[in-house]
Amino acid sequence: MTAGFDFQGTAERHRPPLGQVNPLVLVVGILLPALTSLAITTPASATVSVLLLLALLPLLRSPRRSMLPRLVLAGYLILTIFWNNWYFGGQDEVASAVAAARVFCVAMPGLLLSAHVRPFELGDALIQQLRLPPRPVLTIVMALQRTALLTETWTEIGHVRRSRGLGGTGVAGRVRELAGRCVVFLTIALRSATDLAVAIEVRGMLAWEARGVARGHWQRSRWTRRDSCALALVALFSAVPVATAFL
Amino acid sequence: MTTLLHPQGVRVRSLTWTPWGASPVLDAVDLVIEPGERVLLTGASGSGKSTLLRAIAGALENYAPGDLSGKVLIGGQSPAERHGGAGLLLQNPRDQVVAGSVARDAAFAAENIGLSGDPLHALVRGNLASVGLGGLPLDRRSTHVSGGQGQRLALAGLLGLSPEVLLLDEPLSMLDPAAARAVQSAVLSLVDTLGASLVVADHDLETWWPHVDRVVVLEHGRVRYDGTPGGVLTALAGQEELWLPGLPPPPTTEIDWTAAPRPRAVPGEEILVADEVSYRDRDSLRLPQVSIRLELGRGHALIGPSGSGKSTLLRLVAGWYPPTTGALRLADWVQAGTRRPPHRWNSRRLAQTVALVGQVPSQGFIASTVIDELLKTRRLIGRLRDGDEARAVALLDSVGLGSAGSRHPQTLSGGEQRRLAVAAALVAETPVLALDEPTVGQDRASWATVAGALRHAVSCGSAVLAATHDRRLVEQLDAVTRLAPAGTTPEDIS
Repeated sequence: MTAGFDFQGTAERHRPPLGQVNPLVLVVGILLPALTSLAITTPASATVSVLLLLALLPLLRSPRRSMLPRLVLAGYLILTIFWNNWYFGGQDEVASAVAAARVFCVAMPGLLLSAHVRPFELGDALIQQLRLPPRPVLTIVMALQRTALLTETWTEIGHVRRSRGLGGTGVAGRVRELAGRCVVFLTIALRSATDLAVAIEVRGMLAWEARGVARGHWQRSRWTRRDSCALALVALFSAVPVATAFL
Repeated sequence: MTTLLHPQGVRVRSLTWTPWGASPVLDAVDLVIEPGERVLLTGASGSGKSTLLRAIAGALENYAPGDLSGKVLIGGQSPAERHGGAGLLLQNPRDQVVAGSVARDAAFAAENIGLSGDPLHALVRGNLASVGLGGLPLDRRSTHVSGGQGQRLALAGLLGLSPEVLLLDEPLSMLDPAAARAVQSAVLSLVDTLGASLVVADHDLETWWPHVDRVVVLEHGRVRYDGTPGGVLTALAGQEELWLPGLPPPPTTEIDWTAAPRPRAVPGEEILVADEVSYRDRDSLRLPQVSIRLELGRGHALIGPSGSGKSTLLRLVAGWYPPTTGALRLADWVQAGTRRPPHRWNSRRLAQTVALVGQVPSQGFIASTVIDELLKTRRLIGRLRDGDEARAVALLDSVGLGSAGSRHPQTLSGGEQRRLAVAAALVAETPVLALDEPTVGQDRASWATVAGALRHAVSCGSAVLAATHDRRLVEQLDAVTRLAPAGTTPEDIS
């Protein structure tokens, strides 16, 4: 049983450093470098960006258990991109390496940081700090939380259909079976979403909207000096591919 | 929170709800519930209990397509104007989780009335304590709680609004007896302290009967009885559909389906043996080590608290995945022609051997009409014979689905879906039948058909394994295995 860390004060101290920064910083840290890394077009910018990223890795101090599969995935990604570019793009090693480095720098921040984003704290930050409307934010946050449940449902449907004698053979059969599985999945997901919507309403969501009072919050989303520093670091890091593009 | 603040209670006036393209589910219902009154709302499967609760909570029109007429007033206002007047607890705790942690889930409603900071923290701690969850860590993931804890968490969540009336929709049906008792006593002590009224919908009169002031019986969307708990016994005497207090389990229904004999099977032989199996997934130990033997022509009940691994054992038996330790052994004639274990069989072979009715039967529906659903697996595994269509119609009749043959399986009520899935498993004529809580959501009459179907499968020579909290069903079976929570050894009490 994995404990969440949503109640501040008790468990927050035990989090890895990245879990302690405001989730907005993490989101910017995922999106901004992904965008600027598209500027990696020269060997120089590729080398500097990749080295910088690798140098920062140990500083993230993510648990090794969660890092390892992500690194393996990244490695696989790089090798296939490199190979495809090399094989189909005229056997140009340098250009292929640059392309692989670009994809590495676009994808890596997301792979590394997304695990530290806690959906409900992100919701707190979006509502309290960016003043986004609570209902859509909460809806998205709840949807994120339900992914595990829906994955489980999807797997169960696959198993139970096999138990009932369905199992496509050949490509056409498999596609047909997948389509049938999707229909059942959507039906069930929709029904459980309706129940969730009812559960939200009976806990006063409409009441809040009708009253027009500010919505309360279990946990205050804080923006500290540490978050500002982290954001500055993100900006600095994101600027590297663009700056080095002119080297 | 005193009753004086809302002297009018709940008024329901000629309430009619007609889903689009169907006949009315509620038909001119009139009901008055005084403040502080405790009402049991009962009636057969599909009589409109859930719909009435949702209408009182104001959560009907926006979430289901249909036409609503008539009036619901809480404290003189419509539910829409008086948000939070009614707190509704649904059947499945999984569908009511609205936030990531226990604390946030319990705080959600109070956040909606604008509470934050220390007052909110104090309120949430108080509300959790009042449903008996004071010991649960506040940062525990809200999805990582047991069924009974989940129901009490949802209850604590409703308290943030200090509701005038608590509406409970079969709140105990998914729980084991111990968890059900804990939830029930939390509910009863809450309505005491809040002074709120209580409306609880349940098939089973026995559980709530001693604790309510009034019983309302619905029949086809109309109020058939509204009076004292004492009066209900005489008023409904001879009404065999409901679980009235003191009524014995009904005789099981004769099921109209003759199974073909299995030439190579020997009655009473061991068909499937799970030998010291256990199962562990990424997160935890789902099934502590257990052994179980299934014999042809014998019914086997699997009991034990929620989380003890009953569903997991059924899935191992059904060849969904391999056990982490131990092994499944099957009779030679079943295993003939392959050395592979069941989880590596193709779907045809698997479906010829084990049928599984899961906790959510709608997951397994594979046809677009009820009658096709019944025969689909039989067709896929090559057992369809001439005249099966007519036999299927007769079978549908005997499980109380006679008029539903051309409907889409997904449009049936929860109890009807379960009956359909049980009947479809019977029709596949597999030597092993595994069923997960097959009697949930059944009234007394439909219970008799499910129990009848299980007994019929046994008498046709199948081995039946049913995981259940229902002690009446256990009595219908020949052997019992109790699974214990992780860390202890299971006891065999057959």
